Amino acid sequence: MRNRLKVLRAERNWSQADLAEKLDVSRQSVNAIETGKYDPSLPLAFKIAKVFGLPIEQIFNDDDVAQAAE
Amino acid sequence: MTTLPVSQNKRRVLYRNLMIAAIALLGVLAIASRIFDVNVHGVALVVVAICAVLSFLQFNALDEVAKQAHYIAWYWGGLVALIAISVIGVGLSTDFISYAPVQAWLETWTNNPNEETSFLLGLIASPTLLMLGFAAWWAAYWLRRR
Repeated sequence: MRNRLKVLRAERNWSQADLAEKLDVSRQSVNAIETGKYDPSLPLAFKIAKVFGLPIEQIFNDDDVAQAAE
Repeated sequence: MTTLPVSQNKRRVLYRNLMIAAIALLGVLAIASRIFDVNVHGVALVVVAICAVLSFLQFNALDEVAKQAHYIAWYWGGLVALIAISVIGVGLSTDFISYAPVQAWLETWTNNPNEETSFLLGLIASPTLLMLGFAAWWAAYWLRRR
């Protein structure tokens, strides 16, 4: 699973700690999701989408879909 | 009305700090019992019970990534430790592993090595190995994702 968390965070000038506070998770968890080392559950993915005000598919992409698009 | 922090993050940190304080208190009690030769078993049991409740509360306050780290560490770390316990157990019972170091250790650390102290050592050794397996796996898993 690929995601645009880092880009979206940078656009809003948020640190990992800022995003972690908004999501009510630890900064380490934000880093794990951002670097693709952990794929969030659906409830957390929806929460992330809500925080950024975007649909989930604009934040997360399936690897195969992303590769096909490239 | 609750006075606990609403944020899951803040609750997690609160429970973790309380648990560290409780474990430190256990250490102080252990040292105090040695220095002043007093029986602190009752107080220690209460602190352990408080730790058990805190660990339950803290686990519930963890986010899903941290919980996943615990699940994986318990499974794989615990599995490796169980294999180690089995190998040691079979090795000791078949004389493939020498019992002499265990006996020497018992004689060093207990005044009267007997069946009871041997049983207690076995009782403590197994969960200690499980804890070590869990801790090693958790540290490797969590540190790679920091």
